[in-house]
Amino acid sequence: MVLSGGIILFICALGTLVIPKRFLSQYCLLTTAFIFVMHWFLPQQGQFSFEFFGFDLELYVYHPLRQLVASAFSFYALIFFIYVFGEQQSRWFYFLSMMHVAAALSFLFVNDSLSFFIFWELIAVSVVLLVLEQGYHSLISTYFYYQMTSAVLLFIGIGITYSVSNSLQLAVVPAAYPFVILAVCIKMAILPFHVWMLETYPKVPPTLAVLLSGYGTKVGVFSLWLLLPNLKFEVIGGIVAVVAILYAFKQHSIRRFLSFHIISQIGYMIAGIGSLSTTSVTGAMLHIVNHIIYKGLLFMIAGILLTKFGTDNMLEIRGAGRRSPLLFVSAIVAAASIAGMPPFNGYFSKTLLTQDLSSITYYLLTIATVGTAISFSKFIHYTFLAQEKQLQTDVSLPVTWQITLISLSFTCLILGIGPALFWQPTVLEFKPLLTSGFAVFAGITLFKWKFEAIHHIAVLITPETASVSKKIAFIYGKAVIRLRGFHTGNIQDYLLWFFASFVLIWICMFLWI
Amino acid sequence: MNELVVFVLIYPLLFAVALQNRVGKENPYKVGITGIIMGILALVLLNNTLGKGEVIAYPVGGWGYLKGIVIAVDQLSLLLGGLIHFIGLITLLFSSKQFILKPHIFVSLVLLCIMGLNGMVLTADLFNLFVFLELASLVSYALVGYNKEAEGLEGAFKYVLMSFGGSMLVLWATALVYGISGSLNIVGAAEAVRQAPHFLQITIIVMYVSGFSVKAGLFPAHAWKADAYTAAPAPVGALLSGASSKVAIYALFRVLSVLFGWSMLSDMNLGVILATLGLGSIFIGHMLAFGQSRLKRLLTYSSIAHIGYIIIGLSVFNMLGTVGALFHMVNHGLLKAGLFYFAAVATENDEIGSLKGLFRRSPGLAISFVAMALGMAGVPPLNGFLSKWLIVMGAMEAGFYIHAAVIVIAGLMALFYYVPLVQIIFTPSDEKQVLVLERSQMCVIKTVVAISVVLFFIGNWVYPVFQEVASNLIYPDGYIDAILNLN
Repeated sequence: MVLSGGIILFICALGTLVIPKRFLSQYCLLTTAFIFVMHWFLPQQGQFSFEFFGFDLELYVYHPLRQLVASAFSFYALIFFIYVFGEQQSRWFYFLSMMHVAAALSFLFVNDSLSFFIFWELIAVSVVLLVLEQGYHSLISTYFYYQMTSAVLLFIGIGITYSVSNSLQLAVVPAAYPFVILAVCIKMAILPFHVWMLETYPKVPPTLAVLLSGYGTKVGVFSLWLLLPNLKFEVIGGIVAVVAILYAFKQHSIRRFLSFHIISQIGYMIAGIGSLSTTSVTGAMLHIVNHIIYKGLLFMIAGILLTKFGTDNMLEIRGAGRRSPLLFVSAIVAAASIAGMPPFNGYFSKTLLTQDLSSITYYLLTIATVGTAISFSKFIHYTFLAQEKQLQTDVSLPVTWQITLISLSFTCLILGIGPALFWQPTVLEFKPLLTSGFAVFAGITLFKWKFEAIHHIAVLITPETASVSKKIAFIYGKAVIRLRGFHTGNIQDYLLWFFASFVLIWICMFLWI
Repeated sequence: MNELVVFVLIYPLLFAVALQNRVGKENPYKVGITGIIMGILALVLLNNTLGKGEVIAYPVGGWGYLKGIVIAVDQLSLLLGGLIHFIGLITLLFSSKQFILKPHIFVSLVLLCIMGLNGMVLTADLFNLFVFLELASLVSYALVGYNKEAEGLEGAFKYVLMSFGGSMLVLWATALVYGISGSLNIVGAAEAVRQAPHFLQITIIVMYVSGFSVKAGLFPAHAWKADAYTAAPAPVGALLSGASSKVAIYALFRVLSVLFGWSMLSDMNLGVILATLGLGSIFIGHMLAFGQSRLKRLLTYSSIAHIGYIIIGLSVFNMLGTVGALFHMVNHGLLKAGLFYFAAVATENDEIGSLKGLFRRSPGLAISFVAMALGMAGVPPLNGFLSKWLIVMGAMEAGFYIHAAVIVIAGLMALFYYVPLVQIIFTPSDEKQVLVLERSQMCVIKTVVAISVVLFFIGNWVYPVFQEVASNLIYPDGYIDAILNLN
């Protein structure tokens, strides 16, 4: 019997409800460190399955890629608990964030659709409860409706798969493709289903945004690999990467800007997984790992800037670089990683995942790389380099924040320089491609030369997303009012319906046989 | 030991009478609770004597099954009996601190209601079933209008009229069965009914379906429910929607499955018709619950929708769906009872607006509500999810794709009205006064939440039990044999 780290973490999460409050942060730190060590150094072969409710559940199935992503998830949890070490948080906060991490971790190892679905929902539910716990009750509705729509579609897909194949296999049958693809698209927040992300990530407290950015969308990408192993959709990834960049150009709020960049990076991962080649899929998984690291770093920087300057509008912050060199350096590292500049980690995984792509996807991703470089040049320029505005702000950072910034920056560097040190890709031929390095330089140059024009073009060609969900809500509300009109409270009507239905059923039964 | 069956049937009557003397008037709740606990003990003893797949058939007065009344107990009746008793128990525990006029009358009415429901569950005699149905209904009217306010009386009146229509159809169907077979026992009548002309068979089926659908509140006979349950005191709403409507569904399927056999029913397109009615219930219930300003009305519409789930689960006529439906009866009964109790203590005058800031005033109550609402919407890790999963998978297996999809979507529709409620509860308000609950009331609500979480995790051990229970419904051979062996 092999227990996955996620299940152990679930049990540990129950501990947060009973242990004394002053040891809570230490406790979470220790348990996540233990889980990280377990996933990183002691990968367990074998599997764990049992019968639940008449269905065979497989809670743990070993696969190197699953273990790789799990290591990243648990490492990020460890970093997160260092980040919140000094903060005053309630017991429920620790409990729910442990639950969130545990659900995401368990999710990575399952091999049947019932437990897959349970963890898929638990990830969303724990976020909703976390947001409620932080006092942002007005934010839960959009997030919850979108996530539940995704869960509903997935449930239908699983049901169809069950009725066709009579098994709870993860790979869905073709009849279920439309439902499952839509479900995963919502979970990954790719355009135009990104509204839930814009409603949570930029609006929740910075600490929570750091946690959410690590797991929420990555599980969607990972589930692509599990649910649709035979579908080739790499071009979609390229398009998503480019379009999201165009939207990112327009943003001035750092966290909205980062949210669009998440979507764009997810485009890379979709392209890698959708190419169906082992090399590219491995590259995409590595990109998930790298993305968690550098995007987490960026969200931490955004959170720190928000806490220190009281705003996350990059045009208002200006020139933070001179005040806090550490923040500046880590932002540079993160930006270089996300843009795919050698020798940082983004470069390695992007090179790997573009190995077997078709040429059109490859060019789309190159364009996206140039775009990423442009937009991060903008971020660095305004936030850290431009003329200072807020001179009196105190930018000294607590030790825990310094530790997290330094360790994540180093991880970016280490994962770029020596992936072979930590993880041996067995089937890969590593062909270094300098294209993305050139693309980054091209991007920076373009920013210096013609940013105004690019910004204008982006504003012109990206339509504001129409709120379809509001329209649906309106129609639903109208239908409800119409329906309520029938229920007048008039007993004659009710009796009439009843006897009419009696006659109708009788006729139906009689005619049908 | 078989005489225990009779005890289970008549003890509520004894206690209801005992409540009218001096001791009963002084401690009505204690006497009532003692009675129900004795009933639960009797059920436990019965369960222990009942082996796997066995049926206890007890001819009252030793008259045999053709002339006399037979009481038959199997796992299925025990499950329903347990549900009735449990909800009755927590209802009395909960309302023991509630201010209700003349509590001794209230408690004896609750006991009589339990007696009627018990009788419906235990009897194997069609006319007896009708009598107990009427008893339960009559007591329910009194309970709905218990506070003697105009609204309650109106609700009770609507309930009386609709329910009368339903009872009439049930009685006609019973009369038809008696005319065809010359027997009022379900088993005794079965053979003749199965060989009756097609026309009569269909008439009997449709009369039973329509008759019991009124009691269950199935679409399109659902409309009385909103007025009646909203006007009823909250504990009564819990009892009626938690136990009473489930028992009506049980009676319908028990009668049909013994009279006609499961395979004959599924050949008759009855499944499609019932499932379509269930579909209507789901849509009507969830859509009308959206945007209600009164909590009990919202909960009532939600329970109409859940009746739809259960009906769909049963009418796909396979093992998975039946197990899911039976499990959902338990889950829904439990959670809906809990939500009605919540409505009783957390709101003023049942207005949803008065929930504002509840999280500050009583965090425990607010968190319990969130848990119960998630359970109702079918979100893991709560029991509602498991039964929904089973019903959906059963429907998919039987080829009811649209019905399965609608049940899944219904979870989302449920969130449309629960999420705003949660938001209101968590909105801070000016009122700082802490909401103090009686200990027993808080205890009941927390127990409901705890059971629903535990049921999710022990689902593995619960499942075989429900499978056995479902096979009692699907393969009634044991039931038939046990009664035939009496003569």
